[in-house]
Amino acid sequence: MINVNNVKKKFYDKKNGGFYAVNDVSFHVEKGEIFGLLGPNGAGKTTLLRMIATIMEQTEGVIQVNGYDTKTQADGVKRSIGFLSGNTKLYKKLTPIETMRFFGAFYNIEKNEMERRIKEIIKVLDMESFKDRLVEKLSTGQVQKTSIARCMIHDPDIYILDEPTLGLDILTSRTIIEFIQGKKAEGKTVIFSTHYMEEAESLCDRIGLIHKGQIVSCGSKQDLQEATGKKTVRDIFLSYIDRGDDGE
Amino acid sequence: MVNKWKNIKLIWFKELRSLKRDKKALLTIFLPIVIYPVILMFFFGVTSIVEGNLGEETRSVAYRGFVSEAVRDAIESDEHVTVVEGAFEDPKKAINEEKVEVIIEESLEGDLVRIKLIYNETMDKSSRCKALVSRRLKDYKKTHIDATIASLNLDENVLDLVSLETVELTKESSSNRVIASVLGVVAPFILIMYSIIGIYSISSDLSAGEKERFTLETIFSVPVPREDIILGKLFAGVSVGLLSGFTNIISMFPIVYAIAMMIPDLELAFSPLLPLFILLMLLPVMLLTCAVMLGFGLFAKTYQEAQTYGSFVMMAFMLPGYIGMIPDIVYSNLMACLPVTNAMLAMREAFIGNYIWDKIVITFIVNIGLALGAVFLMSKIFKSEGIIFGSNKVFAFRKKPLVGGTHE
Repeated sequence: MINVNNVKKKFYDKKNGGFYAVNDVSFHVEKGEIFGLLGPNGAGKTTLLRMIATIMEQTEGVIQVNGYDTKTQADGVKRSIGFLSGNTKLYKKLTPIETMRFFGAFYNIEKNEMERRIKEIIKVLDMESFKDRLVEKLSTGQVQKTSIARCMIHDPDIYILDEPTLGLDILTSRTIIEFIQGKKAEGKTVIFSTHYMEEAESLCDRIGLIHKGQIVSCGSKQDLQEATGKKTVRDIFLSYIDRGDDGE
Repeated sequence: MVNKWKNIKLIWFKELRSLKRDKKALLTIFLPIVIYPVILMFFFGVTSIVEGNLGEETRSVAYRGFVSEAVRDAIESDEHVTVVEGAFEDPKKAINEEKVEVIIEESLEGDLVRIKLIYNETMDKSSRCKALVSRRLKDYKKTHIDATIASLNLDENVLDLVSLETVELTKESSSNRVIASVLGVVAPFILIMYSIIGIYSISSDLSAGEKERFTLETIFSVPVPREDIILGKLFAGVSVGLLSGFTNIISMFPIVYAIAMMIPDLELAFSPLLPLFILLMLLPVMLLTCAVMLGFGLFAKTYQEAQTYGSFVMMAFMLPGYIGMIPDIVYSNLMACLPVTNAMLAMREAFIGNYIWDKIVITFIVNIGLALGAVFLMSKIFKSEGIIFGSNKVFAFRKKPLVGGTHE
């Protein structure tokens, strides 16, 4: 479903010149799988997910999403994915319904089908009470639900979520976690990044540990436990850092 | 192509809908509708009060030496004149110390009556008093001359030995022409200036504002090419600019109407094509302005920063606008090549019914060419990861060695 091969992303810094934020990363995600990218702040998670979502272009390497190349078939990739991150905020002067209609319109969804989906999403996410209120007047939880609704409107096969629970209270985080679990149950593919070890542990089928722009290890929790002899994802991650498999 | 237009329209209308719900932005655009009539009422109100008060004020005059009864009667026939008694040996001192406003002297040289008015032009009261006394003495002079001619049994036209007549070619519509000329300078200026201000007020929000609110990445994640997004924003900016410009012109209508009503026999008849021509001249300038402002705004990280850049751009666009206001400036080939000024001059000429087509074509080609260039550049900037995400070197002249987190 998602193939990332030898991907590099070079950034420039005024002080130091060029550096790789993502350095020779390769992994794949199967259909119907929840794949977690786990790493501390600045590890390269956001950059990697942005490249998968075609928001940024990789400097080197190849990324394929649902059979589409991110560089040459960005439109196909975008139609296959729903992308949600801390940086994908909503337009404050639109209501949740207008938000769904606005974003849905770019996917050429037929009008009746669009209205059917909107009704369905409102019901599933329990948005009835605030569906006609401007986003700027919604609570954090309601905004997050609207963001999810925005992602779901075209019913994509793949969801790319960048730190979806970052900064959210426990109730709003639960909405996101339930959303991810629900999508897995529907057979959708989910790739998400987090630096919350417990979140990754409880949700993911497989985990990619990323540090300083490199995947230091990748596999199911069981694979990682066997490789390191550690029990929890936190200990597994720290063992890799302590071993110096951190790209330095 | 159909899909491209659909995308642009979606972004364009979304921006306008957001603007419609933004009270602050709406206030900036529509405030002039309220402001201009208020200014007009204030201006005419204050003017009439001041004029009324000045008309009712009493003027003080003094006679120095012998002044004949006839002259005194002529001056004192005005009810606003009071005579201050006194010798006034030093007239300059007396006037400067405001003891009196005008001092009148009379002398006879044979049959010639010589009347001297001593006043201070720099003192408003003294100057007004001199004007009033002069009017009275002018009447006296005419009466005196008529009486003398009559006493000598001469024809009353004896003094009109030479008749001077001037013929103004546009006499029949001179007032119309004056108004049209004034409108020709003022209306394009207001249209261009307020359109630029309108674009300035929204462009920062459309560019850096979106960055700051983290909504750019959201729209980047949907299947719409970035040039469609920026074109939608561009059209929204131009719409707001035009709306702002035309709103200001319409809100100025009461002032123009009030001035026009003061002029007798005024018949203004503009061509119905004039608004269309104005739009044709204005549109490329607005596209250029908006593209440049959006382009600069994209470099900014915050709305405030974009406003700072925008204010410099606004000044750069206003300057040629002021050039177009210079009264004697000619709509030459050179001027037709100067953006903003050229559109103003083309509109100025159109207001007086003068369509200089060769210059208009140059103006249109220059402005549309520059606008398309600016749109192209703006589109490039919008596609640059370095500028949008602040993550990449945009214009690298030399390669630096790779250092930092991970190495090659």
